[in-house]
Amino acid sequence: MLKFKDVKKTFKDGNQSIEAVKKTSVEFDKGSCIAVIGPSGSGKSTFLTMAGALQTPTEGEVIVNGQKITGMNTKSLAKLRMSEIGFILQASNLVPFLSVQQQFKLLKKSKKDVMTDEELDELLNHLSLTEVKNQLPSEISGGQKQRVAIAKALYTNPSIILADEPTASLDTENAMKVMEILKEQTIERDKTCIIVTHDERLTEYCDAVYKMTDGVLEKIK
Amino acid sequence: MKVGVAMYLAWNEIRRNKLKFGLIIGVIVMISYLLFLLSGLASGLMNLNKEAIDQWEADAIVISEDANQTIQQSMINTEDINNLFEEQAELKELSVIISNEEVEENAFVFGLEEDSFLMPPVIEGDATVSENEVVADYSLKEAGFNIGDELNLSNSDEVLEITGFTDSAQYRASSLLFASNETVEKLNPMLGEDVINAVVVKDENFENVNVDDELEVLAIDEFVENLPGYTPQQLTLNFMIIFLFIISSAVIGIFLYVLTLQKTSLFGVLKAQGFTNGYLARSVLGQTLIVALMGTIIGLGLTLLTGVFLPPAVPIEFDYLTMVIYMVVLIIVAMLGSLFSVISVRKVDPLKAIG
Repeated sequence: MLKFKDVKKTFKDGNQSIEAVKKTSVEFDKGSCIAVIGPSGSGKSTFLTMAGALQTPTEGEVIVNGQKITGMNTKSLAKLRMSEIGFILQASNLVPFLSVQQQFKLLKKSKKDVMTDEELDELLNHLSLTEVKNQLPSEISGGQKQRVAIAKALYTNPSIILADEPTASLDTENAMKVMEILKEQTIERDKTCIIVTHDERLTEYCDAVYKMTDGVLEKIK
Repeated sequence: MKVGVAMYLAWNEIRRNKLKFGLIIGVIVMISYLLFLLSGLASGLMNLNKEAIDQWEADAIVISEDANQTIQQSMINTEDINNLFEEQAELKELSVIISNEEVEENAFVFGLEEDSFLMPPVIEGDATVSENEVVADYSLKEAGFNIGDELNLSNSDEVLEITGFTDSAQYRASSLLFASNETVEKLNPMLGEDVINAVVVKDENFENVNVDDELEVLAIDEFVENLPGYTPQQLTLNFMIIFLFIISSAVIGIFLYVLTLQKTSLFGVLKAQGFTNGYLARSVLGQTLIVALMGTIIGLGLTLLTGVFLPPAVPIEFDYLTMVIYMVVLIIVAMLGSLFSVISVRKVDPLKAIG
């Protein structure tokens, strides 16, 4: 479960103080897929990075599964990200010199509580990645890369999946397929999935939709 | 365990980027090759000066105080030094230029008592020397001299005959001839029956023995350091080696730093995924270790191979312990160079890296 309690984030720009996220209180439950939409510069990426323990709020508290991230040091935040959060980023961001299979091996070497080999095989099969598991990221298509990124995000059994424009580099057909998989896996594995996007077509796959306008988060569906 | 995990990332990157890492390994190979060759030359040059002295396995040497620590300028009356030390050997020394009609060489003649421990083991021919007979060290055989050769001397009408060869035993970058005291006396009448140049001592307590005021007892290491040209030569080569270590550190450090800068966004993504600074630092250090180890091992192999093909005239000698020490130091120096990269990894902000 992810909870924002009176969270506010401000940045300094010279003498000016910019409120990227205005006072926000919101709670997301397990098993739900949530979309956060809004134009560029509205504060949705700042919202996502706070949810992902990549930065801490200026005011208020972000609580991940009962743990307050405010006040945590860099190492503890990294450990929290490794155990509780799975990221899916715009450009898939796979390690370029590791094959698909090795991407998972790297995570397995760093975290004990990951999927079993059978579960991984099943997931790769379900995502139609079995045939490319020995290939490098440069040898597979954009859609396949994004599906590998989804599999990576699920592999460590995180409770929260954060996706930042996960379909930005994909054509419509692949984008919709990725969203179907994301939605299905969120429900099946009881995760909290937050998707930040400005592509409103993706909202039809989500249980709730929030709109971020000038740092104000508002539920619209 | 943690190191093994970091090595996984490090090793796979090397495996998949053979050309890029091959170039870095190539640089380390060249640096270590130069370093090992220099160390071999330093060792060989030092050996040229003191090979014979090392074979004495002596603790000290006695010479006259006003001889400025050189044997040839020293004159000692044998009565002044009779049986003072546990074990001692008299030495008469003179420098000559020898020729067998075909080859001409600079050499020193050592005048020794019978069965002196200053005489290296004879490996060929006859060890006993009568008047005008000499045993030569093996370097003269390599230079083209043979048993039975008659040697003309530049500063004497006497003719010497080679009766045997000892192990190689060079002294002050020249070959040695071992002769009886009588032969030396004929070559230099000033070195009469009771006059010698020096006494070489095997006695751990040599410092506690009182000698005549006009004599001085030098520890053998001090004597070697004062051999003409020895210390400046050694210092020059050692400085070259030290600077090479410093330059290696900078070159390897710069290469790895550039590589790390290229990977800023990857490190950012890994940090976002929960990989700690410690993990990434270990990965960078692990990669440096692999690259430095491979580079120095290949460099060492190439050096030893080069040694096989170098002509005997090149004074190169490989001291394996020194080479292993240099190898370890080079690896440590490379790791120190990669610390800049480790610092830059710490500064990577995952927020910026993932856009």
